[in-house]
Amino acid sequence: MKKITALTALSAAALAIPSIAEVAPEDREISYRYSSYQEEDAPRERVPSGSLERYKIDVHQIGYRTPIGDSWYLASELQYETMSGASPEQTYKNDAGDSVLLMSGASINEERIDFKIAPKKYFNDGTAGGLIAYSTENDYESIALGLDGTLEIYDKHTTLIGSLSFSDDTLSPTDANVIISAESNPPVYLYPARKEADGKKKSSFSIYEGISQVINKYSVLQVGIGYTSLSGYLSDPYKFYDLRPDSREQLTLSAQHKQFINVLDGAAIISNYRYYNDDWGVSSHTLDVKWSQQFNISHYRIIASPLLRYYTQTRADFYSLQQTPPVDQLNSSDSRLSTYGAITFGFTSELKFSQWSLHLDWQQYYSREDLALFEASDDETPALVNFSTFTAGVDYKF
Amino acid sequence: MKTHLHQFTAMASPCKFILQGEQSLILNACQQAQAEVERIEKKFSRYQDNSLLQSINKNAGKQATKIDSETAGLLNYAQFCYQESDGLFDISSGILRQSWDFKSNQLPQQKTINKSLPLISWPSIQWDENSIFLPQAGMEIDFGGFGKEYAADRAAEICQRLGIKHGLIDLGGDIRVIGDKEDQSGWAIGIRNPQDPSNAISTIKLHKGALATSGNYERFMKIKDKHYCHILKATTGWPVNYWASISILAPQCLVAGSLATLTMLAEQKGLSWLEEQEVPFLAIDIHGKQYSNL
Repeated sequence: MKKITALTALSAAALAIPSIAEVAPEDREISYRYSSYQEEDAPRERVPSGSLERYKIDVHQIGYRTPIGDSWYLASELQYETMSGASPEQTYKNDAGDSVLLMSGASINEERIDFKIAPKKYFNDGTAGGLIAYSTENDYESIALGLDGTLEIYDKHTTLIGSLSFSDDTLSPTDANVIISAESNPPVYLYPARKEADGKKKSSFSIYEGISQVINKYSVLQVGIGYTSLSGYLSDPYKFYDLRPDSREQLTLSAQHKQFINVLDGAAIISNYRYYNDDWGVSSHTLDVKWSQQFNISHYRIIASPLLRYYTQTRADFYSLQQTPPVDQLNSSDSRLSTYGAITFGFTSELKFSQWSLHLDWQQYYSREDLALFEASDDETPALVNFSTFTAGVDYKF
Repeated sequence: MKTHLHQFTAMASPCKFILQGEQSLILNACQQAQAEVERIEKKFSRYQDNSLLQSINKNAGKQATKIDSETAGLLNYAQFCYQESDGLFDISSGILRQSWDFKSNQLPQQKTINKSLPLISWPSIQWDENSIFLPQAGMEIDFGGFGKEYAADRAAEICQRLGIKHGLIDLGGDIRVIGDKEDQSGWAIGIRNPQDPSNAISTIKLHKGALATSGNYERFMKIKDKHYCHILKATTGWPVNYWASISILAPQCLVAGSLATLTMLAEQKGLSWLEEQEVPFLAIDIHGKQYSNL
């Protein structure tokens, strides 16, 4: 044995083993989700003709996430959706002051396939990621690219977050080329708006900057600002008298606060606020609160989280309930551009044991014109929808 | 303030975390610290397929394997252990397990051991910060000599980082204190009696740092009244037989564990070597005689 002290040498060597930075996840994970989205029927007394049955969407989603090498992680997702039901074509105010909702006659049946792949590289003090997404359905095609990154500073108490994304969409509305009068020249199309939209493009560019700050060991605050610019064909070719500007600039300010508290086996209150404003005149406030409660029962962990969300928005400048506005005037009767408010109740739950994790989520959404907090009007908006979603899923790590 | 006991099995040992503090912090810390122990086990296990260690060993004699900075740090540590023990501690000596079966109650043939000895050669292993290459097919390395102690240190660091101030990590008897007991009375830890390992021969109060014990009673066989334990000298392939157990206190569990093992390997020279280290220890020789500066 050597006479130099082994204690000093070994202690120095032990301290030289690098402490763990943000490490890339090392587990592979496969997941499956089934979601059912169901809208309530349109109100019979406001729908003179057409179907009352609104959308029902079934979604199957398969995800696979895997580490690649020591510092890369790849997440991929394939989604298949089937959709059926009718959609609102126009809302107008009749002479009695009531709103009349015109629904599309035939119930549509559509499919959509989504594919997403997102590689992420983990560094000592941050991450850098990318995203490629492709989505196709019979009347729409979309491709999106994204970049995102995080950087941890000040002893990892502060994280800077940034992302950029672009999308490029192409419209091909169904029945765009159906001609009702072949003799006339130029031909008369059954759905002129769809013909007009056929082959049109729509693109978006988004940027987000945020900062997440650990306030103390119980609470974390994140604030961010986002900007999105949309351009191209932004009208809805399936609605009547729907003519929207060909650009839209959107700004969002958001804040999230997480507070951990000592209740039973540990809980967290997660509060989010978001302000949105765009140059169409729409502005909105969203506030949601989620209580996430943990229970540990032998080897099982249950996380049950009730949530409540309130949303209020003001209408777009060109939203109107005119029955026959001039064709070249900006106009839309889309309820999503009206003044309204919405409340969501929900419950998410997760049961974890060994490598498995089971999920059951449920949400109920109600939207009504008189839930609006600002600029409420007496106009009825019968196209506003109530819906519920139910999700069941399983994750397996290996 | 509650005391919370979290138990699980990892690295083929009973593991427990004893933590004091607020429930929400503790539960989070237990999960993350257990995950860290499991991460280290998975990465460096010689039994689990696809572990990094398995890839290194499978590539022996064929090609170099890429490693990360954590692995390079552990190899550097192994290098110091090799130097300090004059080659008695060698992370490529795990191959001797093929000769020594402590359940068989039969001594291996010298010629079997002789076949393994040329494959035990830490100095022949080529490694740097980014890769390692075992030059001969059949060579293998493992971190069994200090993996559990390393994991105890890492788990304790995770708990500290997650706001735990009072608690200890015990991975199969390798102990690392996160912080003293709430009332500052120290954590009472029993040191096994080598003659009767289910009972304590001594109890010490640990306020900080780590305690690790290396003993000849963990795996052994007795043949013709002679004790053959699992601590094998890399140079000869035969067990040590001087100390029954060595317990060391040091700031890090990794260091405490290695000093204990190195003392076991040093046999009769161990006591004077240990005294030079100026660490608190309790040494018990095979005749039951105790030496301690505690």
